[in-house]
Formats: sequence, C-alpha cells, structure tokens
Amino acid sequence: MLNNYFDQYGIIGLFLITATLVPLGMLLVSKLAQYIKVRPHNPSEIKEGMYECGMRVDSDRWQGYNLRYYYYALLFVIFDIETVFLFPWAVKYGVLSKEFGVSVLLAMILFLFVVTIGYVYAWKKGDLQWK
Amino acid sequence: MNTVLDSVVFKFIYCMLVSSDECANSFKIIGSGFISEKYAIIGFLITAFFLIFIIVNGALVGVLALIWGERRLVGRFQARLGPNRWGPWGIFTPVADAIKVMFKEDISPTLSDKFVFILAPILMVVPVLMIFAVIPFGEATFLTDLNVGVLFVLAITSTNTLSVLMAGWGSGNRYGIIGGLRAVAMLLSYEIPMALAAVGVILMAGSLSIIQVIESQVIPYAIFQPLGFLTFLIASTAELNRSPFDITEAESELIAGYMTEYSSMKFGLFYLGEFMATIASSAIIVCLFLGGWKGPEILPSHFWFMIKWILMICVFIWFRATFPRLRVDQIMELAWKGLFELTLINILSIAILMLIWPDPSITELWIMTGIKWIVFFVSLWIFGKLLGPKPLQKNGVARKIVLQK
Amino acid sequence: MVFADLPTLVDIVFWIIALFTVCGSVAIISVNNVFKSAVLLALTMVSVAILYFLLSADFIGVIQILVYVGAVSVLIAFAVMLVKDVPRSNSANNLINLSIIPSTIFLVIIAFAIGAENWITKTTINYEEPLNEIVVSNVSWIGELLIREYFISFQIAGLILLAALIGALALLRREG
Repeated sequence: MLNNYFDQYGIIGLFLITATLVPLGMLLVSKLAQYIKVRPHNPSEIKEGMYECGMRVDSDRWQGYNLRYYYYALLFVIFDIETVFLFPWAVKYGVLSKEFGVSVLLAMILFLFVVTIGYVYAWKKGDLQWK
Repeated sequence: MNTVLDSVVFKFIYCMLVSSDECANSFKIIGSGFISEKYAIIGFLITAFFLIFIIVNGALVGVLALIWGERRLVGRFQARLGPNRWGPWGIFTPVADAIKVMFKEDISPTLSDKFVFILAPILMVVPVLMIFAVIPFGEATFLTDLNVGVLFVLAITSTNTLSVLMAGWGSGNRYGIIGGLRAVAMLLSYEIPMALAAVGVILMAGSLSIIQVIESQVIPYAIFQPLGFLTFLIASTAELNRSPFDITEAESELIAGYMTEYSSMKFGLFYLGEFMATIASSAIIVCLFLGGWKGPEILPSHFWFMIKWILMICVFIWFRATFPRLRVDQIMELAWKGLFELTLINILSIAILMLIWPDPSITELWIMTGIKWIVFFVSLWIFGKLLGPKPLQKNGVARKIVLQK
Repeated sequence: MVFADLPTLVDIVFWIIALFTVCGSVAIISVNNVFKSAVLLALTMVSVAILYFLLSADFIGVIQILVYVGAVSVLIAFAVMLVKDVPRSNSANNLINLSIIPSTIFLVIIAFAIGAENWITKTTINYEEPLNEIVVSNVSWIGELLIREYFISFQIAGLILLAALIGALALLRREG
C-alpha cells in the first residue's frame, strides 16, 4: 500500500521538477535570443521608468495601501480553515451517518452555526460591503 | 486508490521496458522487458518522464489551440471574422504570436524588485501545470490518482494568489499594485465558495480521489446538484480572471493590472498561465460535475472526455463574449453574500437527503435530483430578492424622473 | 512498486528538502526586504509540505499548501505591505548580535523537548508489509476521529474561529 503511495508522489515530484523547468527554459531561450541579436535590447531611462502616462515619473514606489485588503485576507484565512474541517467530515459522512444517524449532521451544523454567528454579525453591521 | 500500474498507458510502456511479475498478464510485443527487475527504477523513471513530457507538451499545444479557438469564436460572437490570414482559417496565428512574444525586447523597470519580478511569472505557470498531473483523461488512463486529489487541485490553484500579489508588488508600478491588490481580494473571496462547492461532490462520492468521484457519478453531479455546479462554475470563472470577473486587467481602467510592467517572455508566461488555467479547470469541472469519461459506449471513454472538455472550454469563451464586466463591489458582494450561503445550503441539503436515503437506488436518486432542483430554484429566488437590484427608496424621486423622460 | 523499494532514496530526498527548509528559514530572517522574506516564507512552507508528503501524511501536506501558502502567506504579504519603506524595513537585523542570546535559549529548550519525546522512528515501518488503512488513507481516518474521539475539540475549534472573526471585525472597526 505504501509502495503505491511513494510511486504516486514520486511521479508528482518528477512532474514538479519538469513543470519548473518549462517556464525557466522559456525564459532562457528568450534570454539567449538577446545574445545572438534576434531580440533587441536598447534600454533607456524613460523606457525603464515606471509606466504611467508616457511622461517621466519623479515619485518613488507607492506606499498607501488600504487596510481593507488585509481585513479580507484575514476573513479568508478564517473561512479557509472552516472548509478544511469540512473535507474530512464530508469524506466520512456517508459511512458514519449510517452508524450514528442524525448526530453526525448535527455535529457539523453546530460547528457551522458557531462560525456563521460571526458571519451574520459582520453582514448585519455592513462589514462585508466593499467600500 | 488506484495504483500507478492500473493506468493502461503507464503499464504498457513500463512493461515494454521492464520484465517483472506485474507484467505477466499484459500485452507484450517482441523484445519487450529488456531491463531486469533489479533495475526497475530506470524503467519507472523513463516511463514517468515520457508521460510527463507528453502531458506538458499537450498542455502547451492546447494553449495554442485555445488562443486560436477563442479568437475565432469571439470573432464570430461579435459578428466579425477573427484572425484568418496566416494558414487555413488563421490556424498559425497563435504560433506567430508565440514567436513574437518570445523575441520582443525585455524591459526590466528600475523601480522593480528583480527577484520578485522574475519569480512571479514562473510561479504563475508551475501550479497550473501541476493540475494536469492528476487529471484522468479516460477510463484507466491517468498519470496519478492521489488519495487527496480534489484537495490537491484546490490547494495548488490557491497558490496563484501569491504570485499575482508578487507580480503587482514586484513591478513597483501603481497600476500594477492596484490591479494586484484587487485581483488578490477577488481570488481570495472566490476560493471559499469553490472549495465549499467541491464539498458537496465529496459528500456524495465519499472520497477525495478524482477517479472515485467520477466513478460515483450515476447521474452527473451537474444535474444532481445544480446549486453546487452553478457556484463552482461562477467561482472558477472568477479564479481564472476571465471575462465577467476580469477587473484585474480591466484595460480601460488599469492599463493591464499587475501585468503592466511585464514584457517579452515574462508577459508571455502570464498569458500562458491564464490560458492553461482555463484548460485545466475545464478538465476539473468535467471530472467533478459532468461525469468525466463516462458516456454511452458507442464511443471510447477518451472521446467522451475530450468532447465534454472542449464543450466546457467553449462555455468559458461564451461567457467572455456575452457578459459585461462586473464592478468590484458587486463581485465581492456576490462572493461573500451570495455564493457562500448557496454552497452551505447545497451541502446541508445533500447531507439531509443522504440521511433519508442512505443507499439510494436509481429511482431514489432521481427523486433526490428533483428535490435538489426545487431547492435550487427556491434559494436562487430568495437570494435574488436579497442581493438583486433594490427598489430605490431614498433616491426614488430621481429614478421616477428618469423613467418619465 | 519502485520508490519504496529504495528506502534510502526517500531518505535522501527527505534530507535534501530538510536542508532546503533550514536554508530557507535562515534566508527569511537575513533578507533586508520584508516582502522578499514573505515570499521566501511561502517557498519554505512548500518545502515543509513536501516533508509532510514524504512522511506519508498527504492530507496534512495538502492542507499545509492550502492554508499556509495560499492564505497565511498572502495575509503576511498584505501586512508587510502596510509597512513604510518596505525594501529596507527589516530593521530587526540591526539587533542580530543581541538576538543570539534568546534564540540560543530557545534552541536548547527545543532540543530538550525533541530529545525527551520517545519517537517512533521510521525504521519500525516495514515497507514490504501491506500497511493498514490508517496510514494510507489519512483523510477518512481524520474524519472518523473528528466525530468519534475529538468531538469537543472540533467544536472548540469552531469557537476559536468565531473569536478570530470577531477580532478581525474589531480591528477593522478601530481603523475604519
């Protein structure tokens, strides 16, 4: 059984190596084309500056990020972990529900209910609204 | 969990190279099995690399075909011809595109962070390619069948989020950063409904292995659980950054979003990743919801898979041609207020139906399907009321005036 | 079929990835640009996931990618972008000499904790024997444990998620 496990993941590992080599190879071919003068390379200050409207840009990098995005990422982490709990439950539900009946469903409903309290609260307070 | 040798293609090539006990009953041609069992790993590696090579190149050729097909089809949708100059029906246009993109001048902006700037497009392509490793292309034709296949696909696709953010930040461009932040907020929001819609499938299948999910589909899950199918389809369209959800690029607003500063092959890799993701996630939708390789036995299973796959890609192109772009706030509202709830309703209704019929026969399955469709329409109606255009009470006066004119 | 017949090969890959993880962790703290360390953190998380896969814990490995690479690194990258002057912001590097003291103490504690545990080492697993379902299919085993044994912990996890959600809302309210 474990033999099969390592065979499968061995192939996945080989696939990962190949998949990494594909974009690297493409970049390399494109880079090599520069040395045989197929690909042009004429850098200039304006060309390498930040692209905004065609004029020279004097300012540095932009720093003013909105905290809003951080908040959405935080919400995402929380609900992502919630789905992680759902997966093993869903796999075993068909087998366990024959043995324990309703209680397996109730266990998950209780779990979802607890998390959903916060969700409903956020909705009611208008925090899920994009501003 | 199927073993690697349950795959017909793998077994055929492996048994041509290696003489071992597993190959005793398999088809053999003269001269096969010249590697002794002691060095079986050499045969294994050659077989694996050969198949990986075929799949990766197939994916790349598929991207070229998709670029051509999409441009032709969108052309037809918009009552024009589309590219038709190079080769018959313009079939070599994507090849010309690829060569052009590869030999364009590469610009690396002074404000960019070199390490992050170069790493982002690479990390965009690698996870998308990895999805092809777990797709079963037909009955007993697969590369790997993982125990956690469905979760593997979800996990691999979720890493795209970081590369988008890296591209936006790494290029040091304002449009890039705004586009990247917007894209990440959207990708994050739609990942949850996508995973939750997959839970509905796994509940019925009782396994995370993609092959077992396909084998468990007596009625394709698209018909059996329309709510899950709809939410998964919408969520994966958003995950692909495709048209109704393409706020990240939004040419008219943000130049090209996080890709603004990219040129030459680095831009080409983003392009490649996007189109490859369309192909890969069409295959995943076919596996999870449309019954994979299953079909009437007049055609081999591989053809059924191909037909469904191409049709699914056409659906994505159709979406692109018909739907107007949504606003940012509408997109976020749809994900957090609409799809999230709908997927929870889907999961709970399936769980309740499974309690009532633990071992459903065919008739009982169709009864369940009927109930699922009723749930589908009722919940869509309720959420349409909840999230749809509201009667403007505060600005009602203004609206009336407009209507009278 | 093949890979497990060569346990040394699995071991070699394990040690290479472990070395990569350690190098990645060192790189995270020694890079001056915080955003770059967030990216390196994500790459290190991937290699930790590969370590899980090699220890035949495929479910945990996938979850590691889904949660830590897909979600937590993005969260950290967002947090890092709020910092002023990102490219030179890893100012903790100025205290590198001072930081040796607490990190040495921490290392000693960890070493004692690892040494005190009676580990079931990998040599006890015989690759030739077919193993029972527990090792091979850990998803369904975890699902069963969640309902049968760790029901209370499962519900408490829900409560913790609720607390985190309320905390996120409070954070937003204060800034908003």
